[in-house]
Amino acid sequence: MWDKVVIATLAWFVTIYKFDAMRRDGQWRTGSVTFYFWAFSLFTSIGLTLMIWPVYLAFDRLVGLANLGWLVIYVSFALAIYFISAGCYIVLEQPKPRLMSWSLLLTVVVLTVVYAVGIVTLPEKADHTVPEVLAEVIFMETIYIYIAVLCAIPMFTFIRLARHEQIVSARLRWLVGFFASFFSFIVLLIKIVLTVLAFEDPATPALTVLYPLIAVGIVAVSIFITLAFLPNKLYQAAARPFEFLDKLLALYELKSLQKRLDPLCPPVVTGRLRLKDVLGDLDYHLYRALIAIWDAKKTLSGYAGLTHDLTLLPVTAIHSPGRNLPEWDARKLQQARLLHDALQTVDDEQPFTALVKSYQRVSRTVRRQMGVNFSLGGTALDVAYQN
Amino acid sequence: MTVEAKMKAVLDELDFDFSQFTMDSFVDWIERSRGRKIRFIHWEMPPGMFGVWMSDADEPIEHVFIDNSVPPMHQVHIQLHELSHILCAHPTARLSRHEMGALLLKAAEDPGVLNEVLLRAPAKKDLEEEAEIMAALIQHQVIRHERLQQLGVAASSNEGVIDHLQSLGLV
Repeated sequence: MWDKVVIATLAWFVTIYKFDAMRRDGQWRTGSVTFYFWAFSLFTSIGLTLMIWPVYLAFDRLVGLANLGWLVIYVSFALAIYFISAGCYIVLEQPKPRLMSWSLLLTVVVLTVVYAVGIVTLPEKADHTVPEVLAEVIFMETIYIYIAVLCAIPMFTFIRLARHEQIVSARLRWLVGFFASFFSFIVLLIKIVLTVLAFEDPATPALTVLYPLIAVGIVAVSIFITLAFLPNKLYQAAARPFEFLDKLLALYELKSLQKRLDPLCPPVVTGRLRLKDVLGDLDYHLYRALIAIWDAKKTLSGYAGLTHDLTLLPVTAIHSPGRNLPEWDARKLQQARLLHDALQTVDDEQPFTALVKSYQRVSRTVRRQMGVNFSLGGTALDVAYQN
Repeated sequence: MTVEAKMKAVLDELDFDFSQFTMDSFVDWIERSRGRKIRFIHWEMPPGMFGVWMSDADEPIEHVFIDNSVPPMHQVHIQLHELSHILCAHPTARLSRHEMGALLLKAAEDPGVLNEVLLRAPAKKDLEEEAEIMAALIQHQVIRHERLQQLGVAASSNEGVIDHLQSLGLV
């Protein structure tokens, strides 16, 4: 019982903590993300609270209907998954399918009818995992199937957000959200199977495996849901080591691309970087590497305009203040063409982090292509390193 | 004294508070400290050229041409590079108001005319080096004060989601 008390307390903590944020949102009355996520935590809290046996029993005695708590738990969870899915559609900037509201209505109607026909007449029941009569099977399977199907919406939303997110701390939050919905989905799948198996044969050995799996799954879901609502500062702190390594790798790849561009379009300022300075200022060095790449990209585009897309050797070097642009030979022309083509694949109107990722990809592509195009007798001849 | 140390001294002398950096406030500060207005003109530059600075011979105005064919973040860098020339008090071409007006009028019909004049602007390697180092020092200060977005850098890869996180009180 105490595990349920802890989980319900956590859920209420999130609900109360986020109440102010929801009220502050001017659009909450018309259905904003803030409202939908808060409604999700509210109904989850109600459902989890009634799962505590003494609370369940007290509630039923108060209203005078046996197992009404069971119906309220299921309706609460149905509403919770409905609200979080509706919120996901706002995040995805897509209209909510009509089927979603109809399926909620249908689920609530089925649950209410089955409750009225077959559950209210049963004695008070603490264990909602093993059905004893067919009405219980229908009652349980209805909610499990409904929630399992709707779990796919947040799962899809969070994985899509994580895939497109370039900021590590935000990506961590989306992954936490994904795992919360993924584990919910797994728990429900197990419950769908377990309910049928337990009804067929309550002594089946499969239950000894499935019960602990469900317990682990529920703990995982509650941990991930709580984590998903933590403030961004904690995510930023958790993401710092990953971000550092990510940026270090990005800088290595951008510098590698810059080194290949330098002999063709030399920078105004040259000099070696000290590792200590680089490690302390990764953002600055990434920014500078990007600027250097853009300088070279524009110069190469200038050459491309003068040489029929770099199919001919330039007659004279382009005039560029502060830069001594070297004369090219056939090999440099070939390398310039390859680099120019690769650089043109990047959309430069993206946010900084996306730009860094895009040029990392260019760096890898160029490295791969140069390994092939400039190899001679098994040795990669890269113009960039001949200077 | 290294070029970097020399440029650092010029920047320190400017006494600008980089924790409040925005491009507008920085330009205002330079205008006040140098007693001249700075006018930015976005123009399609010839290959190999990114920005050019020219002084108005009649009025206290500096004309800074920025290449408009490069990405916005790159344009911000070019702006800082040209401002660095002004900060370092480098020599530059001086055009009278009449010459500048006639030039821009002609250039509206034939952009190549402007390019020919721009190419005559003095550009020595050491001056370019100084301006580039100064621009890098400014960018270093801006980034150190966590104002990277003021260099044209977006805060997140998904601004819409950030709004939602803010409304949830998570950012």
